Order: sequence, then C-alpha cells, then structure tokens
Amino acid sequence: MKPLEIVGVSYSYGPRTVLQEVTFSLKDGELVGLIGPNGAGKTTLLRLILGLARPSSGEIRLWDRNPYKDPVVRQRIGYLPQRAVYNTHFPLTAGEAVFLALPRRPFALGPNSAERAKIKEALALVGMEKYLDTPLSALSGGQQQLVFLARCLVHKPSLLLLDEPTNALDLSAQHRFYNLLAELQQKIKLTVLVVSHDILALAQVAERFLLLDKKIIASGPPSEILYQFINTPLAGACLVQAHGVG
Amino acid sequence: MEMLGYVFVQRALVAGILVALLCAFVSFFVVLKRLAFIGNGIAHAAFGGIAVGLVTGLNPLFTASLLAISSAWVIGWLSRKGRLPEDTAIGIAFTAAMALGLIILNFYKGYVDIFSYLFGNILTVSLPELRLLGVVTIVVIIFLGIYFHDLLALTFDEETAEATGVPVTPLYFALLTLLALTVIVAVKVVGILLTSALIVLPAATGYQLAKDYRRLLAYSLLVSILTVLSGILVSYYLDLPSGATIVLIASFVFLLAFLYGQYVRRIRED
Repeated sequence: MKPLEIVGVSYSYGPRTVLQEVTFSLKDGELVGLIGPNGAGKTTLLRLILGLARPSSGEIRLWDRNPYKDPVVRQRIGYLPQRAVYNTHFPLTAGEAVFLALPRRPFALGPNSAERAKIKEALALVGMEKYLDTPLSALSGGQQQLVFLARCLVHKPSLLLLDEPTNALDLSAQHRFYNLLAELQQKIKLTVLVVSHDILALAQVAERFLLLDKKIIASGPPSEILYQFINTPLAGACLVQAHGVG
Repeated sequence: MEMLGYVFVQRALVAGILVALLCAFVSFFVVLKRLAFIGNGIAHAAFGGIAVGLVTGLNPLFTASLLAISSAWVIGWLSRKGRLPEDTAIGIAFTAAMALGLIILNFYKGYVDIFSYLFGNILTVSLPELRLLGVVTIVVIIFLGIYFHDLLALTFDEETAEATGVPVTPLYFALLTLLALTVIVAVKVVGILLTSALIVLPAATGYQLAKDYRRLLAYSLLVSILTVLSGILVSYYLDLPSGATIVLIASFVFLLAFLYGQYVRRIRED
C-alpha cells in the first residue's frame, strides 16, 4: 500500500494557478526530495497533503484512504514546517517543545511519566536527550532543528513531510541533518518527503528527486535529475535560491 | 486591619483576587501570542458599549461585552484574512468605538461618572458585579484548563498545531472572546484606560524571569495577585485612585524583574 498518492491535483489561489495536474506517489520507506524554484508550489503541495488547504481538483490518498473523508489517517504524518514559523524565544525547554506535539490532555500543565518517556525516546532518536530540560533559546540553530524533528517523531509517524528543514543551517549542519534523516528512515521505517533548496546536500541521501514547477517536470534518481537539468534556467533558479549565487 | 471590617473593602479584595487570577491566566497568552494591542483595542471598544447601555437603559456591562466581543472577532477576522494589517485594524476600531461612545454620551441626559469607567474604582464593586466576576473567572479558568495544551501548541507554532488536528481557528476566536470578557470585568478594577496594563504586565514580568512556560504562569499568577492586593491596600491607606495605584505597582515590579533579568543574562554571558 502506498503511503501517498497524488492524482491529477490542481490548486488555484484566486486567478493564480499554483499547481496544475500534479501526479506522483511515494513507495513505502522511500526518501524523496521535492525540488523546484520559488513559487513552484512545493509548500502548497505539502499543505494540501496535510489538509491545511483543499485541492481545486484531483485526489490525494494516504494509505489508500481519502484523508478528507477519513482525517484520522493524517495522524500518521509527521510535519516539520519552515523554521521561520517558530518563535524560538518562546519560554520552552526542549522537552516541553516535544510535549506540545503530543495529543491534548485536559488540565495537564506538563507531561506525565508516560509522556515524559515518549519525549525522551523522541529526543534520543535525534541525539538530543541530554538537552531535555534545556531552554530552547539556549540551543544553537542546528540543535533547535533537531528538537523540532523530535517533535515530528514523538507520535511515531509513518510518513514524514519536511519543508526546507536546513534553510538556516550551514553546509556541514545540512549534511549532518540529512544523514540523520537517512538513518532514521532506515531505523524506524519512515517514508520521507523533503522540500528543499539545499539540493546538493539532499542529493547525498535522497533516493529520488521530484522536480516541481507547478507540475511535475521530472522524477528520477538525484544524479540523473541534476545532470539533466543542471544547465537549464530551472536548475539555475534552484541553485541561486540555495546558495545565493547569481 | 480595621479596613477588613468594611463590607466594601471585603468585596474589593475578593474582586481583586478574582480579577488578578483572570488577568494572570489571560496575560500568559496575551504576551506569548502578542495580543496586547488587541486587548487595548477591546478595552476602548468597551467604552462605546457602555455608552450604548447607558442611553438604551440596558445593563452597560452587557452592551460593553457585546461590543467588546464583536470588535475582537472583527479584528481577529481582519488580521487572519490579511485584509488589513492587525495594528491598523485595531487602531481604527478602537478610536471609532471610543468616539462613538463619546457622541452617544452627549445625548444622555442622566449623570454619568465617566471617570469610574475610564479609571475604575474597585472599592465601589457591587454584589451582582462580584457574582458576574466569579462566573467569568470560573468559565475562563475551566476553558483554559481544558484547552491549555492546544492553546499553548497554537501559540508556539500555529501551522504544526493545525496540521496535527488542533482546531486552530475556533480556539483563536475563543481566546479573543475570553480576552474580551476579561477586559470587561477588569474595567471595573482599573478602568478602560489602564486595563491593558493588567492583561500585559503579569506575564511580561514573568517573562523576564522564567525559562519555561510553567514558571512563567506561576510568576504571572504571583505578580498579578500581589500587585492587585497591594494596590488596593496602598490606595485605601494613602487615599489614592485604586486602578492607577495597582498599575503603578505592577509597572514597578516589572521594572525590577526586567533589571534583574538583564543582570542575570549579563552574568551568564560573562
């Protein structure tokens, strides 16, 4: 059963077409990079998968179920939004940040012992267990991103969606992050879809790249996609955004 | 302690504790979600509502609640839809409501103690007002207790909260409603012009000292209750306006916490 199938999905925002007849699927346990220039519709596609917006036409299926009729299926998704979304000066410890990703328990000011065990386990997966009680604001950008990754893992998802997870990290931190992601994918049998402009670092671990520019332009092994498109304006646009070269 | 023998002082102290509790809980989200300006706008909108109540003969607290809640929703809707920058919407809504209140009051023939609405007087709180305050406090605390985790999650990161099934939009509007109700009952204590201080200062003070949200909530409660009670006592003994005294004490405590927070940060950096 495929974790994700997108069939002929289009999305318009007013008169602007953001996505046009997008079709692709993910195999179980696959790590796929979704790349493309700014405005290609990458983040919109993630928002549609998460149910934060509805497609104008087409169908999204998660484990062969329609998430609009059966929204519970979305509980199997872990989502890491772009880092700019977070307020990292929020008075939270790393453990509390992970706690907030767990389901609501009325009148609970903090985690109980069972939740604390889950939080520790999630932080251990990303090598951050010793920072359980450290304020988020005292961690480096790379460490904060690992805590946010632990937030996605705490409810043991089967499908992980990541939106620009390395855009504020230096090159070595990007490589460390993607290597960790590849390890986790093997270790806990995750299917992963990563939106990123850091295509060179992502290419080291992704099994497949999907090149999106309103529709899927190409799909295949990263080396093939990079080779095929490296001299096109589209690839140039990706590299300019990723590395600020013109 | 002879003052405690007076019924009006007893009522004022009970009202003070209830308002302090309410404001501390609401202040926690106001500071973290950056709703302080909305709170200020709601307080001003309440003035228009009070004027409508006086002229129509309806209970001014009721009409003030209606106008405060509806203006909170309009501001929330405008800012979430991105139709108008939030601060612009608030700036327009609260000055318009205040101006409407003044115009309406111009046609009112009876006596109005505008000062008590603008600056509050907790020493004149009546039994029905105390009962209303008690009901609002219980409702707000129960609601925040049930949804604390979700509200905190949406305050920290709305997008992930929504993606994980938290009903973000209904909760945001519920939070604005609680804020409006808190503003209305706080108006009796410190008045329209000083209410925003009471819904900002407790958590703003705690924020200078706390490294996690639970301590922030605890500091917020402590600061709120101590400053309101000490404000009532000081205003009674020195014969000062109660609202202004409470706000001045709360501001002084904030200043101390701010300086201490800066000092601790500097030591850590060294």
